[in-house]
Amino acid sequence: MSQPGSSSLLKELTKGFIRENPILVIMLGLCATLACSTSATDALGMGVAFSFVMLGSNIVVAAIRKLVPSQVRIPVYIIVISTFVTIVDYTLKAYFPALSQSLGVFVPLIVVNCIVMARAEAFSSKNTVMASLMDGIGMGIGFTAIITLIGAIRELLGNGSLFGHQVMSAQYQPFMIFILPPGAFLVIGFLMALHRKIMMTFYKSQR
Amino acid sequence: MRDFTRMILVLFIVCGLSAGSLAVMNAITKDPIEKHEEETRQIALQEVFADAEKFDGGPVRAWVALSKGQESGHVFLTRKKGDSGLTTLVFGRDANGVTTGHQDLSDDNARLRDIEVDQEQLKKVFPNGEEFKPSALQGVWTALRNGKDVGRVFETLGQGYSGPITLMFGMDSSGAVTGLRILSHTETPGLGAKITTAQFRDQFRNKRPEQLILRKHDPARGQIDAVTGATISSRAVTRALSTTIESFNSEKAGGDK
Repeated sequence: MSQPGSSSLLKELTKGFIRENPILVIMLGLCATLACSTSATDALGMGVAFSFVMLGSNIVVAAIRKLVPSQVRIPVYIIVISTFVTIVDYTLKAYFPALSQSLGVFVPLIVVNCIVMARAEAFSSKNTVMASLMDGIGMGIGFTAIITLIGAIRELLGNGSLFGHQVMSAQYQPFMIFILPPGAFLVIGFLMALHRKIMMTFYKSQR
Repeated sequence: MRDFTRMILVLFIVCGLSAGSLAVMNAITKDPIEKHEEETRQIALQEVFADAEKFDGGPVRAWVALSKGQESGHVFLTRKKGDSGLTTLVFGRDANGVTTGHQDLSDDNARLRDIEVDQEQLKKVFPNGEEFKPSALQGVWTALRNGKDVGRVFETLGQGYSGPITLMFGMDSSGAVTGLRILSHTETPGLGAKITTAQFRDQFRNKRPEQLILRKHDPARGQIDAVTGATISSRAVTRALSTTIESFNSEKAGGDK
């Protein structure tokens, strides 16, 4: 790949927001998305933890991409990713215990989150550190924004609250299904449809 | 061949760097994590036994001793703060609360759950036991008010819908539950996770051991209403309490040596 200019770097950064959004377009690692989006706070926490791992692993994988023989690249990526995940896990446990408790096992499970692995394999192993950094930030923001949105919608409909604050009136009868796993699929489905609509209108107007 | 050595070398270096950075991370976060665990534990103790001022005891590992197929006592593995720092010891206690034997262990730095204890060692401190089954008990405290023993606090595990539920509860000397707190769990958010709400937990307060059963399972004696849609989680909590009380009621573990 040729030396990327600043405009293409910007493109690497912004593609994760909408065009190649990790949840709505790449659709890998939905397990964490489903499990940690029952409330907006948990979702935001998961998003931040994920972004840090994404960023760290992208940078390191890009930095060592020429040294690692291709036969052992997957174990190397896994070690790099799991190191960052463990760092996040310990940090959360030490300084954000409440969040750590509500995210539970899903922080360690970022290790097997396919998006991180997929970005390492598909992007940072073939691109410069700078481009991978941008890709990591973009993917992190894209993931965090969408998972928080899903979390907010599910919490609002399923529990009547938002970031833990009651916003619906006391008469509001929550749809319990939105807190349960099917609710996550429903919300993701509707968001995907909306995303498609936006993309189609956007590209039509560009042409 | 050159490729081969290179693969090994790269993997070796990457693993080494990873292990090194995690060791550093562990050293930084170990104290805050432990301090936090201790703080949450103190808050939890105070919450489940509001009448007590001081708690004497700590985390334990426990085994139920069986002789002739009958429960005849327990063996505890615990850690005590003495004059010369921490000591780790195993000791046995029969059903009447009499110490059957004790032994100091040297693994003072390992975590309790990492210490290997075999049946031989257990038999040494509890000679009457023929078989030892690991118990779910995680900790025992003696609740003290004005220096007087007013009850017990137990920490134990229940088998929930999607994993273990760690909980702590207090019991006064008359045998009534003083309070319950769920320390950790992995139940379904919005359903099983509601076992942590005050609405569910407060039902246990002032209940006698024989009333600790779900109302839907035993309408005559049961005094506990299950969380809607989460019978398994509710039952796990209720059972954890009743079996612990049944098994350890006469015990005075961890209080003295």
